[in-house]
Amino acid sequence: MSNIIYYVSFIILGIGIYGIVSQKNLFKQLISLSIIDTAVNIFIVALGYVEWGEAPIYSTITPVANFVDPLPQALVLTAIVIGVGILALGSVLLVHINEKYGSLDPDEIRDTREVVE
Amino acid sequence: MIALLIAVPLVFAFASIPHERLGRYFLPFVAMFNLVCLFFFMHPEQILEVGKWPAAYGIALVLDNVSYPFLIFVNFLILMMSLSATLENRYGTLLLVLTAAVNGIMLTGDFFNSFVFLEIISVIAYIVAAHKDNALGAFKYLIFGGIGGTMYLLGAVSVYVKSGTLNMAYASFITDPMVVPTICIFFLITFLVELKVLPLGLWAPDVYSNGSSVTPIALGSIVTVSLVYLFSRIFLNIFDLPNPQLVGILAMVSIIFSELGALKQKGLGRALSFATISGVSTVVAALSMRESEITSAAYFYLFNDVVSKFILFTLFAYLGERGFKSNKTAGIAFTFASLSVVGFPMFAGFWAKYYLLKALFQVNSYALPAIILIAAVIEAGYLIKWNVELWYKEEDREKDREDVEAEKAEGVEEVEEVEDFVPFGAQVVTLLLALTLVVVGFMPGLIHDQTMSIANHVLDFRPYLDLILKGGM
Repeated sequence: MSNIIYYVSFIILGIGIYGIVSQKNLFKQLISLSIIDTAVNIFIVALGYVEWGEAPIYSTITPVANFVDPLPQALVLTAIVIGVGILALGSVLLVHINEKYGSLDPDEIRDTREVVE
Repeated sequence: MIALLIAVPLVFAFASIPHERLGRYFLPFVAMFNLVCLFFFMHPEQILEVGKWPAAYGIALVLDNVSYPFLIFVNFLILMMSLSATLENRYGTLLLVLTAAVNGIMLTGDFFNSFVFLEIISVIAYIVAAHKDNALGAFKYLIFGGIGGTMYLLGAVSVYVKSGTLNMAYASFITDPMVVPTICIFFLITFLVELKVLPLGLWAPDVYSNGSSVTPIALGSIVTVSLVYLFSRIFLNIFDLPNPQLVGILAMVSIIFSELGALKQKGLGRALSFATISGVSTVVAALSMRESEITSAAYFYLFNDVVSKFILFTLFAYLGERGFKSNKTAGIAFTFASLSVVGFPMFAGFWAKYYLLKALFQVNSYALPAIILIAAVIEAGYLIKWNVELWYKEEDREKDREDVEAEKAEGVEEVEEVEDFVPFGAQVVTLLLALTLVVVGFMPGLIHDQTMSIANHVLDFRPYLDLILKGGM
């Protein structure tokens, strides 16, 4: 089961990388970066997965021996926050680019720059 | 105590949020505070276990003989930048956070913690890169940096999976011949992006040439030095760089292309950006050899490159369309920095190149010396060209002054005086740094002794491990 999640995360990672390499539109590149972030987050959570594991919270009704690893979950929480911050910042930059050049297509932006220069 | 280097800048950053304009005034005092702490109240061989968790389980901040001199250098650069750059109000807070993050990345002994600091640095870097309406350049950097950050996270998690801890010292016990190269490749991709080694450093020319007095200094000097430290910590101290020849070749190709790129540029900003790529690529190529003398020379080279580019970029930011005829102080600093970059005798750059070439010849390495010499010739070509152009440039400023005098003669009231185009703070700082290059040119031992000590410590893993173990398992 956990192996399938690894494969899925790497397939999503591949889709993200393909998106960045193949897409010219800057917004699509930003979304591709977000997809890569998501893939890595899924991969990290999968690393802490334990078959039939319990939530790692000590209590009288929770068996102690079969907790899932909580550290990857903590790492992913931080990574998600950072990822959202970068996505928001990237979106702000795109708004500025669109206001300045009237497009998010690199070819059209280049044409506009050449006209201005 | 060592946590103050991170906590104090952060406290002042938060304090400056309600009073935005205070941030830029806090910055020099915070940098000064850090330097005073480092010189008088801190010493190498200190470890702080955050929350009293043993290093293997929690975050440990480590001040050793490698991080200590790097911290002094970086905080000195921050102090210089706070005095020389024209900071808009909102940049004060950002640069205070950047100060906390670069100090943090050099102190932390934990991979995930270093990832967090790296991302804080990156986010600030993207914002600073967007200065002067340069959103497109900043976005390019964001895409490259985003991929780099993700790779660093993958590397950090891989370390955790294999060693059961995120602590850097314990990570060195990973011996799986399949896993170590994989981890190193993840980290390496991050460093190739952040240290601007071509082709992954292609974002740099658009970002550095935006004409800001903050962007190239903050990113090209301060962030670069802190990341060279992290590169050294990971690849010279903790892991063995897999296939160092390949990294060396990549860096050498980067040197050639960046120098040719610099030669081809019509604008000074982009030429200096490519020159910066060349400088850092040379450092990466030298560090990848993992040899004491070469490593020491690489740090010397880094010192010269960073200080020289600090001067060149600062003056470029204030130049506009003007030359040096009416501001000879700035011109002298610019020329000194250019000569030092080229490696002219009597400047720090000469010794940087001399030590590096000598160390490379001692290990019978001839490819990198050849490339360094070719790069020096190309550098001499375009930097002398720019110096001549700027020293002999016909200035609008002269016309401005004539206009002002004419207006005064005509009895026009409230005539605006023509001010020096380089602010007093920037003039003092650039001249001071230029003189430093000359002093080091005459007394290279001032820096060489330090770089030799760093190189010996960074290539010896045992003291670092002992320091971590002293904190307890």
